[in-house]
Amino acid sequence: MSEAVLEVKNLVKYFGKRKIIDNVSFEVFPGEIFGFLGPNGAGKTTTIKMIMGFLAVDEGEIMINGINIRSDYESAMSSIGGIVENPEMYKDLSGQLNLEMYARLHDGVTPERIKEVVELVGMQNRIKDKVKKYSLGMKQRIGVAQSILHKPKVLILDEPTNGLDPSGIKELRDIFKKLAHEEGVAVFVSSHLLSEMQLMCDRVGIIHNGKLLGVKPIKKLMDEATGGVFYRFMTKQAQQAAEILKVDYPEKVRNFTADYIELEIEEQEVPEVNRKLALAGIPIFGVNKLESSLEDAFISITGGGNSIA
Amino acid sequence: MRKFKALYINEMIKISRKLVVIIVMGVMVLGLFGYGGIIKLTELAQKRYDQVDMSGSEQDWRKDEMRNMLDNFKSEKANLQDEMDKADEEMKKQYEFQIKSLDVQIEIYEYAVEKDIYLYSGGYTAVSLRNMMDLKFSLINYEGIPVEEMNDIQRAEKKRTEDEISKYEEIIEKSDYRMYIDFQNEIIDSDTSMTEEEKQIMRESNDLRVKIDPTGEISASSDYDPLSSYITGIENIKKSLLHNIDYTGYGSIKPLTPSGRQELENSLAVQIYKLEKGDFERSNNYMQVELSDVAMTGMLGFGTFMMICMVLILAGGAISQEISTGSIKSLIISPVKRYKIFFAKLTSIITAGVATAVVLYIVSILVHGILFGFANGSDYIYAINGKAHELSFYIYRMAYIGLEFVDVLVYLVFAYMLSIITRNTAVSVGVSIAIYFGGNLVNLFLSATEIFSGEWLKFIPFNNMSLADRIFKVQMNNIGISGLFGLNLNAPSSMFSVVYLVVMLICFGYIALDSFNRRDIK
Repeated sequence: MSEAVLEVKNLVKYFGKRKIIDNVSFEVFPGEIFGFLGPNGAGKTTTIKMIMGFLAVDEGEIMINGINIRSDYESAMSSIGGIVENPEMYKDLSGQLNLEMYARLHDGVTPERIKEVVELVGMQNRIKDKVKKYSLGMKQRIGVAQSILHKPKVLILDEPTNGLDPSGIKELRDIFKKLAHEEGVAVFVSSHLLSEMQLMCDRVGIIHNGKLLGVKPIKKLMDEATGGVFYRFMTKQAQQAAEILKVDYPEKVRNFTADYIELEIEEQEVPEVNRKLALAGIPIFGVNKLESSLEDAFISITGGGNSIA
Repeated sequence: MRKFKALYINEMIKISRKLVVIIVMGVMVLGLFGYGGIIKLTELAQKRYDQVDMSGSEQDWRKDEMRNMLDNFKSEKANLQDEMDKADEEMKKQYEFQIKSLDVQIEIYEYAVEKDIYLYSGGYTAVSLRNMMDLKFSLINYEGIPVEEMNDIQRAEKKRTEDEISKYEEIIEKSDYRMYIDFQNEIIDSDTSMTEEEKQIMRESNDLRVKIDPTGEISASSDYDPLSSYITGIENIKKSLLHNIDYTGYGSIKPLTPSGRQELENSLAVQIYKLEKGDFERSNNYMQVELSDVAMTGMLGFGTFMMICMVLILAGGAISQEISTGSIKSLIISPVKRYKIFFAKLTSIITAGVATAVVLYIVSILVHGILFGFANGSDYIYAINGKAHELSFYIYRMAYIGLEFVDVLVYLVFAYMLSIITRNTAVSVGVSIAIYFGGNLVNLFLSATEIFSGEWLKFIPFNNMSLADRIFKVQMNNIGISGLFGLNLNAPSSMFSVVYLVVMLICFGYIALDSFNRRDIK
């Protein structure tokens, strides 16, 4: 892999005396989509705001395209683009004027480039309208257009699919994938929509309570977290079943409720388990083969899913 | 610098789309026309009044009054003669004296009617006639005393009185103003109660009279003599300087301070300069000020008020509004350092203020020109070290607005600072406007209660504001002491104020910049 274009080292942020971000470090490379996952309040937006210059960095370093934002803020920031929380524009001005104003602050953004980007996000018909007339989805598109206007090396997107309809989400996902995989942009996406990330990201970093729990390629993460496949036996006597199965399959019981018991076993073991339960007089109404999702991986890493949306 | 320019252009685009700018500009222009119009109407009404005043019927009325007085004197004399016939010897003498006095009055009034002089006017012929009357009254005392029985002094006095009467008669007969002035000078010379310096002052006044009004026309043209009262004002200043006494205080007389003396000398120079320029004539009305000046000053005051309102709304919302709507995000994610954003915003608001000031200048000059004539603006006369200088109307008013803008700038930076610190538009606009309106009240209160006294008063911010009115002092033409009029004795020197305001601006600016640079935008 080539050099990292976004490098965060030992980042710390206090709000008052509370440590909101605790020693967070990660790297994002060109051509990849990096997912930044965490429940609400984990510190996703705070980290992004520190990268984008909204919040002062209390401790640690942020390097963008190899430039420390402390030493040369303007050059560092010129290779970054993004949306923080909701995209906010000047509502009394048209989308076009908003983009022109933003372009003025960057080098080498031509009127043609603005037109090209507007067409990319599919806003060419409404671009002359005032921003206050836009729907949330349209604002989101203009926000994306603004963030990629100056061809940044790093694209930072905070919950970019907020307020978009499914087809819009798909379009946007394709844009990000194209930017990363074809144009070599490093895309950094934060979200709590985990299924969304599963479809888009190459690597994922999970943040919880201000701490980065780990950065893994998405496949590896899911494999590690669960072993992948498990079987769900539908029965009304799951507790009894669990006690019986503990003897022969001590580590395999994944979970049980009033309606079912889940076992992490191989496919060939299913008839044997079924037979044992039948002999013990526990009726089985059905067996499902299930695959664990990123959601499950997430819950198992962060130790509980109470705060997951 | 390139980034700063880009930011500045963006800020100007935002400001130009703001409704408040358009509204304030519109209200200001309409208000200027309205204000000028009202003053013009006042002037028209006054002119009509003046015309009525000067009409022929007024002259007739004066003649009638003189005749009536004459008739009164005559009938009174007849009454007294009747009374005298019945009275005893002791009373007769008294009546005789009264009748003699009446004879003098009858003689003078008959003479006045014959010469068509209104005895109560300020013209030199009327003054001569009144003096004549007084002299004739004093002659009554010598009647009945034979010349042989008088001593030398009495004889000389009688002779002098008779000479003066004939001199006045000659002046009136010939309508010779120059002779009148020469005669006044003679009287001054022979007056033993005055010092040589005081005589010199009086003579200088007479020289001025002749210089400005060689034929006595102005002095005789109406019952109120503007020239004379103006010159009396100058005389008073000269006397103040001569005796080193401050006559200008209300009731209290105290020695002049060195700065008061300087002020008075400058005032004197200004008054004399104006007199020689003929400025006193223009303000010959009851209000004693030129209405076009009132209109101009009023328009500029109103414009400054509008300017401050606009600037406060813009600056008070500059940062806080962007934070509350979230639009600050597109600024923060741009590759520009925060101090550039800070200065670009500040500069753009100042630009909006300057643009308003330019509109104010142009529109007020236009309104003034249209309503009162473009050539009729009053120039500003001032004096440095006792030497008078003149600032042309257009430059004077431009400089005036420039100085008013210093106030605007102070409020602007203050509101901007509040906007950054409180991040609340309502609070920053509200507090700044409250201070703008309430500040002078607080100042009055502080001065009145003497919580701060003497030296400390000059450290109250409001005492250092209003540079325009302190440097360009209100000019009251017909009042001799105009230079001192409206002088706030608590106000520090202009130089002190400028330094004070600059320091204050730098403090406000630094606090705001530091807060904007360092604080997180959540």
